Amino acid sequence: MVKYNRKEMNVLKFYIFFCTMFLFSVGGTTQETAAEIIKKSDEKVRGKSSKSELKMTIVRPSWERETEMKAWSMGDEYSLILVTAPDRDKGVAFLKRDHELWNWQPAINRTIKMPPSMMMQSWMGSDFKNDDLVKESSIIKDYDHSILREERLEGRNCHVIELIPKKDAAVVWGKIITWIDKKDYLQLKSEMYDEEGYLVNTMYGKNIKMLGGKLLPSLLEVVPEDEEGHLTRVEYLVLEFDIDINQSFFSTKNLKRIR
Amino acid sequence: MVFKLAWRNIWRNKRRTIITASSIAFAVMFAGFMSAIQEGSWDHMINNVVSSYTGNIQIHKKGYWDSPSINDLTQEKELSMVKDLSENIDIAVPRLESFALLTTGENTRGTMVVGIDTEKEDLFSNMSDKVKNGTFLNAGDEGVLMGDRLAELVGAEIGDTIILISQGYRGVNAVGKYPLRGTTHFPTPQLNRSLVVMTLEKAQAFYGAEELISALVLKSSPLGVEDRVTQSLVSSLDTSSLEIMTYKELMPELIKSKQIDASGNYIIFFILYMIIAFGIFGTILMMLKERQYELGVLNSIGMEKRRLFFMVWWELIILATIGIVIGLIFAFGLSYYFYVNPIVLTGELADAMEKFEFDAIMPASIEPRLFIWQAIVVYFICLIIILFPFFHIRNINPVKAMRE
Amino acid sequence: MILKLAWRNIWRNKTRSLVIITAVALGIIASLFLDAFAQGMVRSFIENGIEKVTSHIQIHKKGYLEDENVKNYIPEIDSMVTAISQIGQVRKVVSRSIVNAMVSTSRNSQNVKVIGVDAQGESEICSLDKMMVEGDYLPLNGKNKAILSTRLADKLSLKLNSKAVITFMDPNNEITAGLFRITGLFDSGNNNYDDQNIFVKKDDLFRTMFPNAETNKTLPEHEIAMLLNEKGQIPEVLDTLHSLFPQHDIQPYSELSPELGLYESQMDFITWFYFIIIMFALIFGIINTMLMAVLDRYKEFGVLMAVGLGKRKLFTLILLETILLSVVAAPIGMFLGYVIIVYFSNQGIDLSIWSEFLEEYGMMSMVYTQVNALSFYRLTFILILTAVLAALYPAWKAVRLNPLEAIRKI
Repeated sequence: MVKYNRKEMNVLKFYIFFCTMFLFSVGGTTQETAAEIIKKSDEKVRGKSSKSELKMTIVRPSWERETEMKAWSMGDEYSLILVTAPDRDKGVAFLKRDHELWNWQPAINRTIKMPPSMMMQSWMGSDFKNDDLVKESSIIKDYDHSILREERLEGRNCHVIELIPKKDAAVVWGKIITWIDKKDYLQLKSEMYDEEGYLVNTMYGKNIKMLGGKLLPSLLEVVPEDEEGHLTRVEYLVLEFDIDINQSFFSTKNLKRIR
Repeated sequence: MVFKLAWRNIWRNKRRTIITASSIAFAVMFAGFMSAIQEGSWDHMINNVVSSYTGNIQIHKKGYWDSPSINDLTQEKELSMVKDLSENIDIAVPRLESFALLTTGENTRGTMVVGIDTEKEDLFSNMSDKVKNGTFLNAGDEGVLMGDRLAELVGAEIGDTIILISQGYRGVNAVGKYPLRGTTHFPTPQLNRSLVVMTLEKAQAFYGAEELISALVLKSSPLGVEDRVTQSLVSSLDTSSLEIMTYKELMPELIKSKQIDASGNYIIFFILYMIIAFGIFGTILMMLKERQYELGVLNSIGMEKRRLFFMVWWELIILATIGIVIGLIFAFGLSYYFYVNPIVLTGELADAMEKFEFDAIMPASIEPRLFIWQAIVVYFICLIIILFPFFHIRNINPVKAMRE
Repeated sequence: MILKLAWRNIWRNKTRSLVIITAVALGIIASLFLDAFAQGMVRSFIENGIEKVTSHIQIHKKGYLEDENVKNYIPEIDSMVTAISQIGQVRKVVSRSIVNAMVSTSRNSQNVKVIGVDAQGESEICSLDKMMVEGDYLPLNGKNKAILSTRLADKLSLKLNSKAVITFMDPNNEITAGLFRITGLFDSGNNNYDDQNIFVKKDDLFRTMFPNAETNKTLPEHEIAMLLNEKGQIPEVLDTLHSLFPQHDIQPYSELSPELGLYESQMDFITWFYFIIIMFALIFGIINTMLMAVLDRYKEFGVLMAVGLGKRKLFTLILLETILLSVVAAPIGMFLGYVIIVYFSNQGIDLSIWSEFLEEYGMMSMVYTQVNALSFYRLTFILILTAVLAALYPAWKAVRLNPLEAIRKI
C-alpha cells in the first residue's frame, strides 16, 4: 500500500487551513454568553472575499522552512493561492472551485487536476490538526461553550472560555480552552486537550496590528506539547477584506496568468 | 575381552552384520536427506523472495521502515563504505522511494517512485529482465520505466511524456516530466499497477533530496549470515540515527510461514523416526532370535548373562557406529547430488513458482549440521533400542535356547 | 495347499510374525497419520489464511481493484447477494462497503480503509470476532463503534473508548466526517492487513456518509466475499458466478493472494515428498526385517527344498506369508490409525510447544488431523503392496539357497 506523507505541510493544506481558520472578531458588547463571544471572534474572517499575503514557517529540531504566498478567496467555494517564495516553488499556484482542485506547475507548463482524494490528504499531519479544517464554524456548532474566568494575557483582559465537544461532534479534541480578548475579540491563545486531559497543541495569536482595517493578530503559532522543537508559524503580511473580485477570477486560465 | 569377542562376532557373520548396519545406515540417510531437502527448499524460497527486491539487509534512517516518509532520508555518502565492511556482502544498492501523483491530462493516479542506481540495481535484481517493452534505463537516463498495468491504465506509450508531482523533502514542491522508456512486468500485480522507476539522480532532483537516499539494500550470502554481518555493521555505523534490518524483520510473513512449516516438520520427522526405529528394532530382534542357540551355548558353558549382554551390546554399538558413518556418507552424497542437480518441479507448484519468477526447482542443502544432527538422533534411537537385548538375554533359558 | 502351509508357518513363529505385522501396521498408521496431519496443516494455516483474509472467492466491480474509489461500487448488490446465497456450494456470503479514509486522533492521522460490514456476517465469514485481543467486537447495539488492530492503535495513540474521527469522500465528492469510538482491538497476525483496515458497522457508515437521512440513498458497497463448503468446489462455483455476473470481476483466493497459492502448492509437494521418503524407509525396514527372518529360516527352507518343494513354490510361499501377514496387519493398522487420527482431530496438536514464535498465535498453532475415507483405503492398499514388494528380494534370496548347504548348517 502506498503511504502518503503524513507530516509535512503542503501549501495546499495550508490553504484549506487558511480558508477555514477563523480567529478574528468585530466589535463587542457587554455581558455576552460564551457562545456569543466565540461567534463574534469567529465572524471576523468571514468577509465576503479577501486577499492576503502571508508567510508560513515550519520549524523542526534540525531544520526550518519558509514559504511565502499570496491568497485570494471568495466565500467558501472559491480560492486561489500563489506561492511566491522560495525560488524552487515560486509560481506554483492552486485553485479551488467547489469540490475541484487544480494545480499550476510553471516548471512543466501544465495545469493539473488533483484527484478528489487529495483534498482529503491535505488535512493530515503537520501541527494543524484535522479538527481545525473539517468544516467552518465547527468551533461554533460542534461545541458547548462556557466562560471559565477572566485573565490578563499579553497586557489584555481576556475571557477564558472552555469548549467541550458535543456528543456526536466529529472533532478529535477532548476540550479546548481559548483566551479571547474582551475588547476586540481577538483569539490570543487556544489550548487543545485530548480526552484524557493532556495538552496536545497550543495555538498563539501574536503581533496584533491593523490588517485590512481590522485589529487582528498577524502571527499565528501552533506549538505541539510533546514534540521538542516543533512549530508551525503563519504570518499575515497583508490582509484585505471584501475586495472587488468575482467568479471569473477563479479560473484555470487565471491560474497561469497570476503573478 | 568381551569387546574382542564382540568384534570377532561381527566379522564372523557378514550377512547379519551387513543387514543390521545397513538398516541403521538407511535410517541416517533418509533422515539426513529429508532434512536437507526441507532446508534446501526453504532456503531457495527465501533466497528468491529476498533477492527479487527486498535484499537480505537494509539500512535506513531510524524509524523509516515502520513509518516511511520522504523526510526520513539519509546521506548516501555516509553509507558508501558499507559494502566493504563485510566480505559476505555481495552488493549494496541505494534507493530513493516515495509517493507521487502521475498525471496525464484529466487522469491522475497515485504511484510509487523508485530512484535506482541502474547498474547496481540490475546486478542486484536483474531489473532489466523485467522490462518487457521498450528499454531499460541507462546511467544518467532522463526517462522513466512504468509498471505495465499502470501504463495501460493511463494510456501511456513508449516515448510519451509522463508528469509526476508530489511533495518533496521537507515540504518542497516536487514536479517533473519524463519520457517513458519502457514498461516492466513483475510477479506482484501491485507493482505493475503503481511502480515508476527512474535514476537515483533524477529522483533526488525530483524530491529536492540531493545526495539523500531512503534505503541502502544489501545482498549477502550465504543465507543465514545476516546477523553476523549486521554485527559488523553496527560497530561502524551510527545506530542512534540509523536502523539496520535483516530480511527477517523486513518480511515477517515469510519467516512466519517458515516457522509454521518447521514446527509441522517436528511431527513428520517423529513419524520417520518411529518407522526407522522400528526397522532397526525389527532387525535386531530377528538377529537375537537367530542367535538364540549360540547365546544359549555361551551361557551354559559359563559366560555370565551380564557379559553376554555386554558382548551383544558392544556388537551393536560397533554396528551402529559403522552404520551411522556409512549413512552419513550416503546422506551427504545424496544431498550433494541434489544440491548440484536439484529436483526439477512440474505441475501446479512449478506454475505457481514461475508466476513469481522463481526457479521451479527443489535443491537440497548441504549444511553439515543437518546431517550431524540426524546422525545424533539416530544414534540416540539405537542406544535406546540396544537396551532391549538386555531383557531378552536376561530371560534366556539356555536349555530351551539350545533345543531350538 | 501352499496357502495352508503359509498360514500355518505364520502362526508357528509368533515373534517373527509379530515383528512383521507390527512393521506393516506401523507403516500403515504412519502414512495415514502423515496424510491426516498434512491435511490438518494445510487446513490450519492455508485455509485459515484464506478464511481470515480473502475468503474463497471475491467479486468486485470491474476496475475496482485498480482504482479503489468509493464510486466504483457494485450496483444492485442485494439481489446479487441473494442469488449467490442460493448457490448450493456457498456456505456464507457477505458484502462490504470499503472507503478510503483518514482516521485522525488528537495526536496523529493515518490513511486507512474503512470497511463497513454486517457484524454478524463478518464474524461468520472471517472470524473477525475471534481475532480480538482487547475490548469487544462490534456490538449489535451502540452507534459509531469501530475496531482496529493493535498496531494501528499504537500508531494513532488510540486506546479502548478513545475518539477517532474518520473523514472520507462520499460518491458525490463531498467530504464528510464522523466520530467513532474504539470498542475493541484485534490482531490478525498479518501486518499489512492490520495496518490498513478499520471495521465499522454498515449502518454507522451509511449515517456518516448521508447524515441527512435521504431515503432514496443506499450505502455503496464494493466487495462480495464468500466461503464455500469446500475449497475444491471453487472451480465449479466460479463457472456459475461467471455466467450469472459476466460483467464483474470474480476471483478465487489464489489470484487475490498469490503468495497463499504458492505456499499451498509448496506444502502439497513437500508432503508428497515426505511420503515417498517414509515409504522408502519403510520398504528398507521391511526388507531388512524379512531378510533376517529368512536367514533365520535357512534350515527350514533347506529341509523343504530337500523334501521336494520346488523353487517356485518356495518363492510363492514366502510371498504368500508376507501377504497374509500384511492382510492381518492392515485392519489393525487402519483401526489404530483411525483411532489416533480421530483423537487428534478433536484434541488437536499444539505446535507451539516447539516454537515460541507460534505461541503468540495461540489458536492458530493447533493442527487438527483430518479424516479422509478415500485416502484411508488408498494408503492401506499402497502399504500392503509395498510390503509385498519388500518381500520380493528376501524371497528371491531364500530361493537361491542350496538346500544341502542349508541343511548342513544345522
